[in-house]
Amino acid sequence: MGFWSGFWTVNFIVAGSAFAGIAAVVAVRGVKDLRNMLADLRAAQAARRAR
Amino acid sequence: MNFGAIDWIIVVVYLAITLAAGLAGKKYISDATDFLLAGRHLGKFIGIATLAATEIGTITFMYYAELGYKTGFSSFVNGLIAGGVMIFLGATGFMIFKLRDLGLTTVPEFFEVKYSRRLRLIAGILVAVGGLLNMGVFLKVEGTFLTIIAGLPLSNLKWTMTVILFLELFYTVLGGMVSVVITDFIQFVMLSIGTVLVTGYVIYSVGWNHMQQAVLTNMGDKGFNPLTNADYGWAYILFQILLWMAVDTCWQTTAMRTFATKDPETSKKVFFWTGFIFLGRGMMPMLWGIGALAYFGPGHDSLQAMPDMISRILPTGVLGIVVAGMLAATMSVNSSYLLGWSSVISQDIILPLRRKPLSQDSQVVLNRVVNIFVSLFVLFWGVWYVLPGPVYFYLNITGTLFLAGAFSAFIGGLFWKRASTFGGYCALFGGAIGSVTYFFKIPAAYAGMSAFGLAALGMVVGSLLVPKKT
Repeated sequence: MGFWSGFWTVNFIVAGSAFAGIAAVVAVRGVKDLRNMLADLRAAQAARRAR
Repeated sequence: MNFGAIDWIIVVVYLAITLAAGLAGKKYISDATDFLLAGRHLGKFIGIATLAATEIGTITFMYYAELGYKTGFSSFVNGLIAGGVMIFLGATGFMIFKLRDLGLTTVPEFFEVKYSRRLRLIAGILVAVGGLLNMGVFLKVEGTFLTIIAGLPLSNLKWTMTVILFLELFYTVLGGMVSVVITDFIQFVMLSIGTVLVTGYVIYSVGWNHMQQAVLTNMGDKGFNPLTNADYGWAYILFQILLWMAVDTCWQTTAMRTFATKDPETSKKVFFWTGFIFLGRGMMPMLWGIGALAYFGPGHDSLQAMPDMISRILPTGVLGIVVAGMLAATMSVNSSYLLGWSSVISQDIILPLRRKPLSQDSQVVLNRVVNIFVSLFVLFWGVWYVLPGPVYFYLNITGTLFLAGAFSAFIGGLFWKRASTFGGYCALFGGAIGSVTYFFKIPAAYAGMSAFGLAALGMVVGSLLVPKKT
């Protein structure tokens, strides 16, 4: 029990920290990504219309 | 009950922003690829957000918390496998690199590219049946959570389900994948805040030591050691590893994110980092379930214990943020799943059955109509169907109905030159037969393993018996 209790505690700390850390980075840098995606879609639409 | 006026305001403002953002996606749709895959323009960060949001719903929190409540810290093994497998796939690019390279739109399309058009149709039917049965229980479970946490009587459940469904249907039908990705991003931010907040409050209010003591008192060693827990063990662990490999590569909603990334390298990065999120996606709600065990003791309804505890420990104001987060989680999953299963029905069942091809505009209209029918099915199935056991096992098995066969057929099609169409048929039928044994009282781990075993055997024996035509 002692081993497993420690094992899951360490796993939980890693999992929780990774979740919070990555979520914070994605929340900030995802905005630019989203803008790029919409710009690409707009450009593709314009190219289609030009054809 | 702490859900006050400020909480309702937070929820309504969040819903208004989401709907407005979702509707904005409509103007970017000009053909079926835009509608189904956002024109394959997903970058790394938005890819992580949409993949994580798609696979983190209130349903996820509910079934994982139920596992935590019933099996204690042993349940963490599920989160470890889900995250570990995804990190492995992202680090190596195993399967996902080649799948993105093929330029597919749906999972069953792979069967036409590698095998035959008719096998694509069979795969499409299996994907649709398994997917709809799987999604069919989402609304009821999610509605239960939101009804309890908002302090509404459970008699309002059907109305909660209907409102949730129509909100997400509204923007999915109009803006397809573009709307789904935009709203997924907002929803990912909201659900992440909600998840971290709840976890912090559960640890603060219930206490880590109290939770460990509660598991030890009620379950003993098996509450910590998954190898001695009758619900898990080696067969279950092996089944889960195979299942998650299959989910990450062949599950329509996950695969759509692979197909929608800019290029194969981006899809690898998306999987690698989302894998770390998946560790927390599993372990944090499981801890909430353990917290509910410590808070109420073992006599509470296992599915309702977690939301019941949250509604009591979170203060007014925080509760509104958390409900908005959970609503975000609900809508992001449901909208992606609506789009995913509708795309399979339209692209892989209806279109192949039609002799004449449809124009791009007609394909978009067809997808929208199928979206509405899928929603109605999900609503009625959620109201009438009674679950045979824990939600997590039901979802595993309905997913395995298609996934076991598809995984063998994908491995064969990508890596084995002798994989034949007949082998593909045998794999799909073998996987489906193995998985339905669960409904005849076979434990989930054995039903799942038999599904993957029969599918692999079917692929190999079928391909050797009736070789590929050269």
